[in-house]
Amino acid sequence: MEIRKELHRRLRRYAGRLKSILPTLIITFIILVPLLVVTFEFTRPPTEIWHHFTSVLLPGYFQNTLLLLAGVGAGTFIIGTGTAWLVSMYRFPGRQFLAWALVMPIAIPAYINGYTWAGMLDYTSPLYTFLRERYALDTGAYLFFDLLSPTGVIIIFTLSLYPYVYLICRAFFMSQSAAMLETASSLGHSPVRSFFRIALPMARPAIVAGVTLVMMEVLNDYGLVQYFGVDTFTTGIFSAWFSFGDRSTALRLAGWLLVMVLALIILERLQRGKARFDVTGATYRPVRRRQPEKSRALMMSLLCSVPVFLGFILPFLTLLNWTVQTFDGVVDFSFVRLTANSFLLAAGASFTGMAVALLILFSLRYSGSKILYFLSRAATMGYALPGAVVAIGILIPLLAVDSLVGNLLQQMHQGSLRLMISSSVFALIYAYLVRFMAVGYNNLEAGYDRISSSIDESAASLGSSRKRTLRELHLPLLKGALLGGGLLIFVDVLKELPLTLILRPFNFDTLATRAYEYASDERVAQSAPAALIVILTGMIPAFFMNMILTKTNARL
Amino acid sequence: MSLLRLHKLSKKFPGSRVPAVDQVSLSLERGEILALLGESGSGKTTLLRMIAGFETPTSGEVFIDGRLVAGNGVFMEAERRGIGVVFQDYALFPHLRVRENMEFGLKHLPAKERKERTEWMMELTGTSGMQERYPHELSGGQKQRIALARAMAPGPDLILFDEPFSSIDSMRKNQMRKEIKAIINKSGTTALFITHDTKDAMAMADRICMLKKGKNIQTGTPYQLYNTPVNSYVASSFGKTNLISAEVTGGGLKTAFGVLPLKETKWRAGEKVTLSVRPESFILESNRNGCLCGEITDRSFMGEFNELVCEVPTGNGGKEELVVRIAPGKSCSENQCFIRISESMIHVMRGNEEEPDSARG
Repeated sequence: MEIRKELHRRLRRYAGRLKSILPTLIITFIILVPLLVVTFEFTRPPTEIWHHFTSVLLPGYFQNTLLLLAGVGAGTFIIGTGTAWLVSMYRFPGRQFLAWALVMPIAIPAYINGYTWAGMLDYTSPLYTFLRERYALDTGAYLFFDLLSPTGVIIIFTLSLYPYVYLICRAFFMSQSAAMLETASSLGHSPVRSFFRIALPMARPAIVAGVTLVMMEVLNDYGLVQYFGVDTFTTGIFSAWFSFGDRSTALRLAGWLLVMVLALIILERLQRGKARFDVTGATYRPVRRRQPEKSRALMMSLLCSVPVFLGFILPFLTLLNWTVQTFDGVVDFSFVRLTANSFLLAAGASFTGMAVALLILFSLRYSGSKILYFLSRAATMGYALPGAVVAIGILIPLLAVDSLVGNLLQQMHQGSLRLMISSSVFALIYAYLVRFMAVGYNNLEAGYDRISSSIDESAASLGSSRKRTLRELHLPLLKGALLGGGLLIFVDVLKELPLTLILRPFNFDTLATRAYEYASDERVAQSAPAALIVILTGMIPAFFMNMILTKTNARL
Repeated sequence: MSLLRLHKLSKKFPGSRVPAVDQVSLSLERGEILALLGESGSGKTTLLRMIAGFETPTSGEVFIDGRLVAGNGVFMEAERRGIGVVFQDYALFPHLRVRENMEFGLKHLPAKERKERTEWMMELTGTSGMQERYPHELSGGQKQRIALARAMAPGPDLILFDEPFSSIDSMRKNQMRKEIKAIINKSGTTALFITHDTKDAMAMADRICMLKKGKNIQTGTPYQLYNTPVNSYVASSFGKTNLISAEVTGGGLKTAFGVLPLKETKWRAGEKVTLSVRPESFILESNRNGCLCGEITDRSFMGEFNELVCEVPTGNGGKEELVVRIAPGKSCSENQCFIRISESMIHVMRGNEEEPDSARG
């Protein structure tokens, strides 16, 4: 009798605990579906087309992908750490502006940068026309090299993505203790030697994390490699799906892409080891910037200007020019509608993303559940998954749901009603949630970390229910974190291309897909207005990032 | 009936081998102020959190006003216990004005009553006029008073304080102790506070519960803990004392300094005991007759007394140090003194073992 009572009591307690974490468990599971779908495909026998891919195309994919990763990794490393070191350690003309402007290329998605550069260096472009007419250069020959090649892709990626490394290094160099470098100079090290012997090794974990982020963006890209004709896993997924119509092969390719991403993550973790990012101790003192001699200072200004000019100013001005030229032909009612589409979609995705992040973090705050913790970690992995992988992983199960429900409806109505969840705004939002929730989540988590647990506890001791604590204390205190996280998701969704291309409803366009379509039709100039809106929106978080950096600096 | 009763309350955190709180039994009467005293890691915070309802006990029960609120399969959430808590970091809601902070726990009352109660509490805590300020516009002491006023506003039967004086500088501590004690007494509430500072506990509390490694070693009035500690740990926690090992014999207590008289009858012959002799328990004599002759190795003038460190030869040819306090008017020679232990001020404790099993107050 006593045992039964005890059993009953325990069951009730477990049921109570389960009830409080159940919604979160379900949502985390839903987010993990695409990952599971892609992984599951490996357990099934491959199709004929897969054999074709493995024998003919796969080696090329591997080769190209590895080449791009190596080239872009090296390029962003050199530009990112180099410029970050110069603006952190030296005084030179325009330093303050350049320190800020070096972040700006982050606002231009790589594929848009690629279209713009290709347009600028096109045979009919003003540059070539000018060179031809002025110097009577041989027509038909490319002046420098063929931009539409792996080398071109590497250059464009480097110009667009180096700010990731720059930002992370800049934050690191800013927070490093002056004492360390002063010790080095007192031991007779020149600044250059200090850079290689002390700053670089110490910043290594940070740098590798930045380069890893860059590489993930490379693996994620579709627009740039497709336009430049360099076949990689993402273009493979598209051709398997759209040209061959073979979902199994598309899934398998997605799986291989996933393997590469995981390999990157594991390598990053391994190198990091026990190293920590922050070295700010109690006795922190900022580094005193050195004043180099005039010619060297000018050289530094020039060096830091090049990436800003090539990565942001030139493409931005070109797009502005093209927008003016094509304004009347492109900007009409349908353009306004697709802009509204894009913004609504991005707003919907960022709202859903932040709501889910809040739900997970709120229930984590109150439950010590280890399962929930691990699941939440897994659910925020989505940011590492390339858009094409997420899209395929969502498309396949949704197609199954479509045909299931379609069959049921057919039986009931005898008609031929077809359900199309698989290519709907719902599917898009779902995919954005999977891929971008982590961005907002991290922001919100940082916000929650700043609310001491004694705030919650004193609310409870004053008789406040959890709901009331959430409504009256957490929400107002997290306003900034919610808006910031929402903004990051918003911008990411606006830029997103491969995922949107696969999942968008028929005849549904966003700014990104429209820019892609114009570019694919060899009407690059016409893609400018859409591209410009994406860039201008992307500049908002770039401004914020700069503000946070300078604020941190001022506080320290 | 006791307002708060803990019965064999224990908490063991997952992954930890030893319990943070180990079978603590305790009761608190209405209107009483009790201090939970212990060093960090003694389990005092965990105990407080279990009473407040922020932590679930592993075993044992918590009764409030005779009602079971935790243990035996029951767990009442913190928001339903009606216990006020004043946190170490005050935990004022940063985005709410002082008035809104105060009214947070009064949502169930009509607006007029809310206002009256808030005003009364602010008057009681001497914070009137700060209603419209934000927490970041308050000084540390003001924050603490607002936190106390906020906790008292809903009229809880019991208020818990988490290290109330740890973030107040020692100059203002004394005044703050007095103020808070006065506020508690005036409002007639019952209070339990945790501290690691013996002085806080002695100045504020009616009773002190001394915790060590999660166990309740001794509970009693400050007087009891100071004068009749159950073991050397408690004895040396409350000020300086000389710990002398002794053995109970038929004629008294056999120590290195000779045989001392034993008045209590609960000790059996042959038992090993420890004596606690406070520095003020010595009488200074002018000649060596029947006295201990100490060689003074250090002396410091402390204002209200002189403190001497004396080396006293022991029976087996060695030497032992004793700390002796004498009134500043009395003097002795430069390097030698003759002292006698005041027999009534010898406190006998169980032998030198670290944690006696049956040591309960």
